[in-house]
Amino acid sequence: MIKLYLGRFRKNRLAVAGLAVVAALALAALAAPWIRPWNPFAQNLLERLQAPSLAHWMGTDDLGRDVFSRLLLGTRISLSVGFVAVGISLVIGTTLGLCAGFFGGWPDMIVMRLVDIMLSIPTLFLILAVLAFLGPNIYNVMVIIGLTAWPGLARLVRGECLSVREREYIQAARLAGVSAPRLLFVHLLPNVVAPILVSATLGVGGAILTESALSFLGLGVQPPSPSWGNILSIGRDYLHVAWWLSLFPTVAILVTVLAFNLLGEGLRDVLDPRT
Amino acid sequence: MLTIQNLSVEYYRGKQTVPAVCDVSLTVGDGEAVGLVGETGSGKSTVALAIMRLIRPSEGRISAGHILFGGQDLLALPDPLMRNLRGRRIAMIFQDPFTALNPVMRIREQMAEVLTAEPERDPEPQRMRYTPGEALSLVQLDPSRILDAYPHQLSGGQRQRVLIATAILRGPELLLADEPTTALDVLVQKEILDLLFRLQKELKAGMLFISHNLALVAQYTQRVAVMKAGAIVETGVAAELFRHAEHPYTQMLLAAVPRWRVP
Amino acid sequence: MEAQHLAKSFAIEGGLLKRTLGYVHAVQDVSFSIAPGETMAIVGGSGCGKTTIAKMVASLLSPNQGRLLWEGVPLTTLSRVERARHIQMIFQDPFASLNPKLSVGVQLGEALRIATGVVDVRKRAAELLESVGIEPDALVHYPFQFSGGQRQRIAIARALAPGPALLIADEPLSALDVSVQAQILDLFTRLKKSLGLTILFITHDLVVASLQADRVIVLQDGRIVEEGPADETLRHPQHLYTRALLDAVPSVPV
Repeated sequence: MIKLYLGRFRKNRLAVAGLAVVAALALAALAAPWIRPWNPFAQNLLERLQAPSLAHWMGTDDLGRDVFSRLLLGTRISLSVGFVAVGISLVIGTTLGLCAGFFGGWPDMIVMRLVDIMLSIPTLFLILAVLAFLGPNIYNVMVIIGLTAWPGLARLVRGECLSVREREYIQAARLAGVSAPRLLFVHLLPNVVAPILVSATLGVGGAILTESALSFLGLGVQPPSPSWGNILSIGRDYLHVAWWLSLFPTVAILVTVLAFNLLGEGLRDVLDPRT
Repeated sequence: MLTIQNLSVEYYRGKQTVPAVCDVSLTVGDGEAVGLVGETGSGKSTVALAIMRLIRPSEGRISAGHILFGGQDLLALPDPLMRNLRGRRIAMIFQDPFTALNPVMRIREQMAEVLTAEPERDPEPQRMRYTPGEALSLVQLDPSRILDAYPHQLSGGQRQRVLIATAILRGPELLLADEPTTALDVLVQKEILDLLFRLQKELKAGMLFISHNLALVAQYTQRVAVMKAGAIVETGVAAELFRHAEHPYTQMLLAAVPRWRVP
Repeated sequence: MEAQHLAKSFAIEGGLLKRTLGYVHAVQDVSFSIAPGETMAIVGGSGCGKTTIAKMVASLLSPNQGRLLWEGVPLTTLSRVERARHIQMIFQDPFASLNPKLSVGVQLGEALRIATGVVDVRKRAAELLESVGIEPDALVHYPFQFSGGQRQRIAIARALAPGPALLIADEPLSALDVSVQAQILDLFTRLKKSLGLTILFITHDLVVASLQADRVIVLQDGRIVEEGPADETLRHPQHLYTRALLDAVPSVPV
């Protein structure tokens, strides 16, 4: 079965490209302390706002710090925000969605109303308000993005669950006397895991975008810690004199989100032969 | 009227091609009903798709043969002329009446589409044609109730009648029916097939009736071709086939028909 | 097995507020009993309520009225595992009735472990597969690797795993090719003899029903219109509807 999926995945060139970029980013994030050419925190006011050169591949910022080294460290932060936030929303969304879809009745009623409420709150403003209240730091950012990203996933899982629940193989398993937890986790979950995986992959891109937006607004990762968003935020002030300060973080965000989306779409095609 | 000569069709599987139909020859005379019998994967539906030229270029191709219809080779016909033929002179009735109708269009609109798809210049004179109301009456439906209905308001049997009515709108010379009743139960199946073949006789249209059920095919058609693994293994007059089938596969299909234990 | 005055209706909901607009009476006042070792067929056109009855007997649906007794004891008082040991079901579409993500071995093994005290589950599962004419190495394979007929055999093996006394077969042939249908029918006949199974056979084909069953119930619009020994019903159908069903079956001219 896995062989079949691998074979189909390999044929999907865009998805393979997406996976390659994601893998390269993950590797860069892990190896950042060893491969960065400069100390990302070392200021050098004599060399501030230098254009890209052999010494500073992506130039320097307003305090003379090496942009490439800061972007590398930012990769680490952006990816961890993406993965942790999606991890949190995955656990909440899948659990609630499965319960709602499988049990129906009042658990379904409660979960779905909760989803409706969450979806009707403008998420970014909620995040901004909470961060303003709790204080902006990287951990709060991860948790709050995770806590607001699950409703879509819960709704998706519930829908899949509702249709799979009525399939004959689930009824056959019931007849064989399979207990409810086993029915839920062994029989039902593997049949809804494909859309969950796809949505999670797409979610990582979304979380990275949200983190960048928050850092850009000054409520995400706090200087001097670098993140793609706050480098971009500095770049805005020097847009006319130092284009490199805006360009490289933008490209980083764009490429990363694009890679995750390609990977997600690819997974959807591979795991769901209907399309 | 329809002559298929040495037709071969292959489908693409990755870089390889898989033969679906091999060297099939078959004729349907004017007003004649011919049965094409075979099991899943025998290539019988592919033959129908090839006649209609509905095999997607991305999925497969007709690798050899000719399909002559009224003296023209359909396979050599330019696309616009083929579009003229489809639905007008050759009509197809599909297997699943639940997916062959567009769920968001009223029956009136779906039937009108066939009529308004009028070619700029009609190369052939019209034989006859019906208004949607007349066609529905012919399939024993009440036009005043059905025309403004949506597909979901109709039963499976009613939808299949609507599909038949749509197929005869332009007075086609050839009808292709691919397992038109497998989604229906035996009682509705009998009603629909009785109706379909009565209309075929009235229209004096040729008919290629495709099914996996040999007994059913023999009941309604004069000649039967049996297909296995892409090739025709036996052709014969229906009644004769039952008395002495030659090919072991035909004998097996016959043996599979439940016989009554009582005379 | 006995069914007393079964009735089931489904609410038709409509509009934005999901108000109940009315009820479809799928099954109305149906009573029957099946003796051990007997094969009974329930025959009728689509929408006659035959599948609803099958699902109620299998406890997949609960009746609005009436009750189901197993050797005099209401089915509802039995535990999940006890019910699994008594009653199993085979579904119409073998492409939908096996879990695509679990290997054949897992699906058979689970049914064995839950309902029986078999120690060597693997060996027993292989035996079950052999009894339905499937190679034992199928255990490690997934459903998508099998044809429709093979899947239906595997589904039968799974249904047999708990060692049920009553097997419900809901149109087990209609999704299969004609030649495969004959093989599966033979398999039923063989299993019935060797295992002494009681079978509730649901079909729209009166001829198949009569060949397979000892007794036949003809159902129309959720009510029993005719009931009797299979031979008798086929030879002298009493009710108009039964005659229509019989006429509609395409058969070989003899």
